[in-house]
This record gives sequence, C-alpha cells and structure tokens, in this order.
Amino acid sequence: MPLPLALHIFLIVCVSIFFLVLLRYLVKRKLNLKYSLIWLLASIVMLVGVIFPQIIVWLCSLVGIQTPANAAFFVAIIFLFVLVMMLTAIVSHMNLRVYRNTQTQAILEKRVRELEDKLAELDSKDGK
Amino acid sequence: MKILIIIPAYNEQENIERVVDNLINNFPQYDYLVVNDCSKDSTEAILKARGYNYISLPANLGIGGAVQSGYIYAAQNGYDIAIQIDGDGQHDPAYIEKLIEPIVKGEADMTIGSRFIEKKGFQTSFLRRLGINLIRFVIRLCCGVKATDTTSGFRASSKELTAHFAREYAFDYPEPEAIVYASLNGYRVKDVAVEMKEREGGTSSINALRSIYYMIKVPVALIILRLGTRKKRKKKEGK
Repeated sequence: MPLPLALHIFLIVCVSIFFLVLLRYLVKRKLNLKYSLIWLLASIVMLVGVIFPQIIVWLCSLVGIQTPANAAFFVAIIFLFVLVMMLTAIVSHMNLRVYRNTQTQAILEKRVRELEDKLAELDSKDGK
Repeated sequence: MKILIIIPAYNEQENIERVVDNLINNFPQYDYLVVNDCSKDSTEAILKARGYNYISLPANLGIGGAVQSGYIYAAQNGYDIAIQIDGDGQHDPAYIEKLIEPIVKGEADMTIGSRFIEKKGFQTSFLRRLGINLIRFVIRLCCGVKATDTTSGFRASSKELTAHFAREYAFDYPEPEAIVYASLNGYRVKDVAVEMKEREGGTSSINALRSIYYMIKVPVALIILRLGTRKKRKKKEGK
C-alpha cells in the first residue's frame, strides 16, 4: 500500500524540522555533540526512512513484520530504551564527579580558612 | 599513632557541641574532624564560632559522601586509623580504645562497634533490629563476615582500608556495603562489643518510607557488590 502524498510530505516536513532544530542546537553549542550523536544518527535514519518508505517496507518483509507501522514503533521503543539507559549512565557518572568536587572543595575550603586565620594573626601581630 | 575521629553531622545543632566538647576535654589523644553535610540549621555557625576542626560540604551528599570526605581527609593527612562516630551522641568515645585495639594489634583492618554482643545499653526498636538481622544474613551470604550490628556507624578502619574508602564508598546507607566491600577486597572485619545510647536531641534520619527504600536498596547493593568483586578476589587469591 503506497503512502498518501499529503501524509508523506507532512512526515518529511516533521522530520526535517526536527533535524534542523537539532543541527541548530549543535551549532549553537547548546547540545554536547558527545551526548547528541545518537540523536543525530536517529534523525538521519528517520529522514532516510521517511523519504524512501520502500526501505522500511522491504526491511519488514525481510524479518516477517506485516505492518510497517509496528516496525516503526518497535524501533522507536528500542531507541528510547537505549537512550534512557545512556542518560542514566551519564547521570551516574556526573553524580560521582559532583561528589568528588564537593568533597575536594570542602577540604580545600578548610585549608584556605586556616591559612586566612593564620594570616590575620600575623597581620595583627605586625600591627602592634 | 595518628588517630582521627570522623563525625558526620547533618542538622545536629542540639548535639554537636556536647559531642565535640566531650572529645576535646576527655579524649585529647585523638584528633577529630566534623563533616558538616550542608546542614540547614545552625550547625555550621556553631562549628565556626567554637573554633572546632571541621569541613563544610557546599552541597548535601548524604552520610556516605560525608563520611568519605572524612576518609579522604584522613588519607591526605596520613592518619593511621580513622574512626567514625555519629554526631548525635549515641556512641560513647570511651569505647574507642576497645574499638581500635584489634587494628592496633594488627588483628583486623576494620572493626565495627556492636551493641548486640553484650546486649547492654540502647537496643533500638524491634523493626530496626529485624532489618539489621536481615542485612546481617545477606552479609554472611555475600562474604561470610559475621557482623552483628550491620548498620552501626561506630567503626574504625586501618590506614590501608581508609585509603581504599577514600577512593570508593557507597553514597547512601553505606554502612553494610562498607563491610562487604572491605571483606571482598581482602580486609579482615571484626565485631567489637560496645554500648550505645539513645539519641538525646534532634531527630533521626530514619522514617517509614526511607526504611522501605533501605531494605530494598541495601540487600540489592550487597548482592551487586558481591557479583562485581568476584574477579578481583580471585586475582588476589591467585597471587
């Protein structure tokens, strides 16, 4: 069953907007490329799939999925799972670094505080 | 021998002066460090005004992160033994000598003050004891260590183990995990009988919802720790 033309154009426009917004965020450095590479990859795959839906239909027949829409949902859910896992890993890693920073800062603050106290002591002695 | 007492403190304005003054007046042979875990009350102001030896975390890290800061400090300043006591006055420093004795003698790398060996003093609520016993069972399963007071925050560690804890320590509810972590990495853990008091002021950080989280998180964490450290242990044995 061929895709209706209006729907086809609508989908292409949607994915293109997503792609352009993503690109703009990357260029403006609002997104870290390291963490958004997966988005870039996903949007390119979506763009190709939406421009040439025959590829999806062909892939579906290859693995025996009867409705291409199901394949799209399946792939999307897998993608989101991977993405959320990645985010959890990133957050865990960042959490560790925040802990280290907080602890190091507290210990340094103690050393600075003690040095300042000693300095004030010396200054008051000099003043006499 | 350089000995450091680490006192994690979160909202302990009612207890901290009594605890620290007791250490300064009666136990001057030990150094101490208060770790203020970003308290919301006047704990930090008290620490500053009284000129205590303290560090103040700029963000609240929870007990694990606070205690670990103390371990980092101990490692950086070359302490031979690091002791942890609660900031609420539950732990009597008079027991410290007994607590560190096995470490001083070289019989253990970590000692845990347990109120359940001689069953004297404050024995805590029935539910809490049930939880402690369940964790005791999981710990024995994971590493064979017989620790009776698994959640006790009254403990001491050797220089080497302190350096280890400075690198890696659990974030929240770290006490049972630290036992398993130490044991799996080849350190000897020993129980020492102590007496504990009921907290005198302030409120405990344990409530119903947290208890449920505790009882799920801690056993899972212990099992994961066991799964993850198996290889390391084999390597060590192979040497």
